[in-house]
Amino acid sequence: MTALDSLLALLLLLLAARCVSARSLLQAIVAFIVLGLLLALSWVRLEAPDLALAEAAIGAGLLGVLLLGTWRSLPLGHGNERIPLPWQGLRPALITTGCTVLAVLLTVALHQHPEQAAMSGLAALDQLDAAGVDQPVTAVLLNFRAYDTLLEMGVLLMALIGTLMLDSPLPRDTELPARTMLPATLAQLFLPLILLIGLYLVWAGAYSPGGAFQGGAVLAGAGVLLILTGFGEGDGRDGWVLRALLAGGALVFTLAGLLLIPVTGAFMAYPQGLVTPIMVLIEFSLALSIALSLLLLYTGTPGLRRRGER
Amino acid sequence: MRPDVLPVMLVFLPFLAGLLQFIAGRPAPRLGNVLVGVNLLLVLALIPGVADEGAIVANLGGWSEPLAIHLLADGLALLMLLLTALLAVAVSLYAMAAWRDQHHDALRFWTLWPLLLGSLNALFLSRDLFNIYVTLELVTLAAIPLVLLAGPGKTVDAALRYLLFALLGSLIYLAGVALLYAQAGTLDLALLADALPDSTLAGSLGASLIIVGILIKAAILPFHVWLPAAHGGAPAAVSAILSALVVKAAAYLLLRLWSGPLDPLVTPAAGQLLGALGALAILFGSWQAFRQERLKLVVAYSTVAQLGYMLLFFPMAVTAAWQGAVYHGLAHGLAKGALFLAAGNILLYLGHDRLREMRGIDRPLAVSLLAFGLAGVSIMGLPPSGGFTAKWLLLTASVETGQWWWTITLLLGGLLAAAYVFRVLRLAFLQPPENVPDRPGMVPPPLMAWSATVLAVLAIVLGVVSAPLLELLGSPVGGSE
Repeated sequence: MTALDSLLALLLLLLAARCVSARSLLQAIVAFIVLGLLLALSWVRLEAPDLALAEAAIGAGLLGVLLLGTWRSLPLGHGNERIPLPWQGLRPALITTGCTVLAVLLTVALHQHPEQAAMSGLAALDQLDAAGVDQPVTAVLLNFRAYDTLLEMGVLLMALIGTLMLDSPLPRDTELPARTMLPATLAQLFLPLILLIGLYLVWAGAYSPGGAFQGGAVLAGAGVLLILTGFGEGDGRDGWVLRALLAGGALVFTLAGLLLIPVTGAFMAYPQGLVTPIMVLIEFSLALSIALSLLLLYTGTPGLRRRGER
Repeated sequence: MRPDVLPVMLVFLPFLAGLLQFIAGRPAPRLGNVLVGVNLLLVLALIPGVADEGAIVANLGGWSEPLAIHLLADGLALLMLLLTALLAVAVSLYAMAAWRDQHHDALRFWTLWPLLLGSLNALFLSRDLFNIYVTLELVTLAAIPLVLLAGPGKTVDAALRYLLFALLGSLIYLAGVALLYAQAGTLDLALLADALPDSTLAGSLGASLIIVGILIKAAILPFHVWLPAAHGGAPAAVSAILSALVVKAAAYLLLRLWSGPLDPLVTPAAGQLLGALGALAILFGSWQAFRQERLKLVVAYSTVAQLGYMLLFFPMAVTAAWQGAVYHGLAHGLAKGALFLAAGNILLYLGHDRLREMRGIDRPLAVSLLAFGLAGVSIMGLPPSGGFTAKWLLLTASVETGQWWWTITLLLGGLLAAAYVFRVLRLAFLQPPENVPDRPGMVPPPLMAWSATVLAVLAIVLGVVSAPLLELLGSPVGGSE
């Protein structure tokens, strides 16, 4: 296995170098996507299957789709007001020096002081029984540190609002270069499978690697496939139902935290016996919000519609 | 009501309001204004508890230490919450008038602004390194879209640069958090200082990364390059929020972390280095502000300079310096809010903010210029303003510690601030030339003029109410006396 690990590490370095040195942007993007896949494999080797799933679904999958979509529409962008930046010429030297120094320091530091057993990590494992799920990662995300996860949902929502505010850089009537649609059979073959995997991942989060983020990303992938095969497309208008679903994850999470204060005496504490159902409800509403947000980030529109529908 | 529900409400009521506004899809400025009113009341309700017991702690999720996540409202957090709440009221009233007829922009503002308010409250109440990371992200990602409200294409470049710098800062900060967690096994600020082993390379590196990450977010020289374009280009209400609160939040974190969990890791040399960066920021920022040709850029560069004062705590690290740095944060917040709102009124009337074409606006914009002048008094540090109290405390500290070089910095900074404030006022009060050019804009409605003035008056009043506020603040947690 050492040989495999060395090969992985070497390939990661080569691909990273390729990402920053490639002459064409497209080559850099492709290298980056492959890098994401190999990173996912590395996480498996490091025995962090949750991270591996997230990296594969979000890092390599959706991020790749987003980057390629951006690359495709780059030539159509028109100039915005540019502001000059000082030390423009020094930038490569600064970045290289900074990264090298940091890498050396990190390597030395981590070698001198190997990681200690984390006391809060151990405390979390101790109290796993009370957390309502068997999977430690899910217990941390949805119970022990639910506050972080809730705030992260806010981050995602605001990233989406910000992106949509950029408006389309294209004048209304320009058409993107004709898009070659993938054959519809692809959707018919794979869609049920992808949906099943996505929902399974959300559900499986309770007792094995998986969860709202990974499952949501896979569900978003199903949406991307629908668009690429020509069944759906982005819409300039949105409806309140869609917006409610987008905000739903954060809303359900917050309300579950606030409304139970009189019962449990603390924010985001769930009453004994109801922990598991509440967490499943939260997990599924989060997954739906995540899937829709990621899909809208891909289309770059506030709404969605069936193709040809007005 | 139990006092520990208050911090939770301060975070989640604004979030709920923002989410509801998002779902509703129609701008509801009244909802926003009710929210900032309630927010102010909640902060005021915190005061007696904090004054009596020193701090109010809320436990989220009900777990025990070291697993638990806490919200902590102590004197420092409370003062920042109070600044935020006061500014929120003024800015919301201003925004209600400013975006009255623009349905689309109003919807975006009234969605993002409550979310930003909740995020700021959450940041000030955080007692956990990772919570701080997430709240920093929230604050940034709510702030950047607000910059885009200036109009299509106008601030895209500035916003993107802001985003890239902010993300770089977050990543560096997060790397530092990972290193410290690997050493200490906890993220809780109250437990970290004891859990960290003494002077390890990993510890020092982690602390340095955390500080550098925050410096980038706080736009401290040499990481200020993203600030002027973003703060100068955004609409007035947004600039006021960004300059008075958003970068201030990052500077606040430096104070909080330095005097608490990072205390065992920081050295006097590091303190002097941060102080030197602050001094450079004061001198360079003030000089740049003096040289600008556009009003909003003057005010934006003034922020670069004013943030430098908060860094003067680190080399001196005595109670007077602590009080001075925090008080400077408060005074600058109120004054800078007033300056940006007043600048927005001038921009609205003239249709531009070129300083050389500003003459003759003293009659129609008397109230806004009053606000600008009063806020300028605090920025320059003249008595009896809040800015004066802050600088006086910092001066006392520099005499007390025998570090005379900060005295010189403080005096020079004050002179340079006077130079750029008076330059603007002189150009505004000059008599107009014979052939008065047509003024395309409108005289700002009273609500917009007076919300700026109220903030400016508060910045002055801050100078006379310092005793109770400083008592509330107390001395630095782990700092040397």
